[in-house]
Amino acid sequence: MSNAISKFAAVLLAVVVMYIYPAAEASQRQDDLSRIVVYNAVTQFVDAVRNKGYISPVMYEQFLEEIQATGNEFDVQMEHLHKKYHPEYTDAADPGTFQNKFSTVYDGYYTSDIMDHIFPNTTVPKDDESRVYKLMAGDFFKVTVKNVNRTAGTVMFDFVTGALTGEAAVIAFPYGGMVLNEDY
Amino acid sequence: MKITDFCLVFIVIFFPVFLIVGYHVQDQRNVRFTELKYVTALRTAVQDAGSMLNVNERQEFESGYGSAKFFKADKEQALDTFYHTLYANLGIEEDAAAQQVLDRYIPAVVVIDYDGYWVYAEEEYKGADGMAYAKHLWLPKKPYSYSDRAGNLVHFTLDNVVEAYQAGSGTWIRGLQRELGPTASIPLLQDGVRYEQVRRTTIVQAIEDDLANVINRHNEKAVRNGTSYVFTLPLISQEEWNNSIDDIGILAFIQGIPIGEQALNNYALGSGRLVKSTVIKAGVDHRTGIRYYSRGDCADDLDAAETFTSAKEAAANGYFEKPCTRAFEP
Repeated sequence: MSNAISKFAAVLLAVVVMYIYPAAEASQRQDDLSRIVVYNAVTQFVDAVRNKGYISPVMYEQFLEEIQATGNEFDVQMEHLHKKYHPEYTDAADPGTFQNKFSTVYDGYYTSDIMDHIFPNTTVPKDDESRVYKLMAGDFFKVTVKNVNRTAGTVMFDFVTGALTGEAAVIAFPYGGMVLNEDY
Repeated sequence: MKITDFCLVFIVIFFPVFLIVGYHVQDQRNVRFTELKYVTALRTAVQDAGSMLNVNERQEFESGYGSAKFFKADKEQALDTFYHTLYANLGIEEDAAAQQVLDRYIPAVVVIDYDGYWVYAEEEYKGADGMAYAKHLWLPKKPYSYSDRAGNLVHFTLDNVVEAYQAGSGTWIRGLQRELGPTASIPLLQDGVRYEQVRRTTIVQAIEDDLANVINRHNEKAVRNGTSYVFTLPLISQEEWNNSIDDIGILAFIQGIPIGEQALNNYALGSGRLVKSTVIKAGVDHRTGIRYYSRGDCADDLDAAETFTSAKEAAANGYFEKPCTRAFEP
């Protein structure tokens, strides 16, 4: 009888030590690699936009392809803050009331605005001039990427520890900066 | 004991070891990644700030024929940009509390201007209600100044322009060192090679001393604010200093953010410079009749008809880029 119990325990331990633990470790490593891939893709995409001053459909598609190669699903949020100088009037309809000063304001354009521009509801080809989203030097551009699915690492971690991580993003990365050039 | 029992003993002894080592590795990895994130944010912020430095509102502050390095560094705008990018990259644009906390870890920002430098650091002041407050402020601009034993005073700039006080005659002179040199009574100005060496060392020394001082003072306040980290000036290599004092620039530090078992200690340098764009000559190749443009190095066999400032403009006017193969010809 004791023999059977020891055998059962041995098999159980063998399974844990030889299969589950290595699998959990491996999936954690996979998540680490995904994080680095996403980091590289995001910095590359944002730096390209900052240095070129525009977003083209091809640039965006390549960026998506790169991050999706990690096997995860991502939520990509883009934010374009257009810098604007605004003259100060007490009454905008009356030119005589100009206060001899101006203020700097930022107009925000977000993912849906940008997507509508680079992927319009028409049949114009991808390399068409009208599908390029242009930014101006001095504007700010920012991309935030985070995963929406449960990554392999999370699944294994939850299985091993019995925890419930839920929807918390494991791979999240915000990156942005000022647009430095207008190369269009 | 049977073989399975040995197995059990092995697992009981080694499994905890693996687990603990695994946690450590995980911790290290998180530290590295957080560090990467902060360093990227800092670098980008400083780069953006550097490019903002040479935005200018008035013609007389523009670099021109006199000096390619002369700029009036727009420090406020550069700082605004620096913070904007830094906050955006750390995802705290709208979180004033987090911004304030982050400020504690930025002991100093230095703007290297043409004829002096500014330090932006936390200073204490008395508010209207008589209470002591601490806030990041611009300290007064300091010149790159040098004095010798005879009492002569020399104010350096980032290039050859110099302003000097001659103790012998009690007069101020200003101009290029190579022009002032032969007539000046100050020995330093007469020797061009030594002048250059002393100029570089003086600039680096001045900024370095001031920074060490400011960062040290930051320590005092940090302790009172509950930060247990000794802020020190990170080691900046001589080469990096030499590069940074070639042009107007910005230097920022981020220190003491605890990550894992260590603390972050990093700095970034960015500089602003306008590079003179080369003139592009365009014309008709007299052998083939095709219209070409070239960057000037192999434009000899073109009958130059127009000049452009960018290759894009030349192409828009119907010119091809001339394949420049001269370098490979015997």
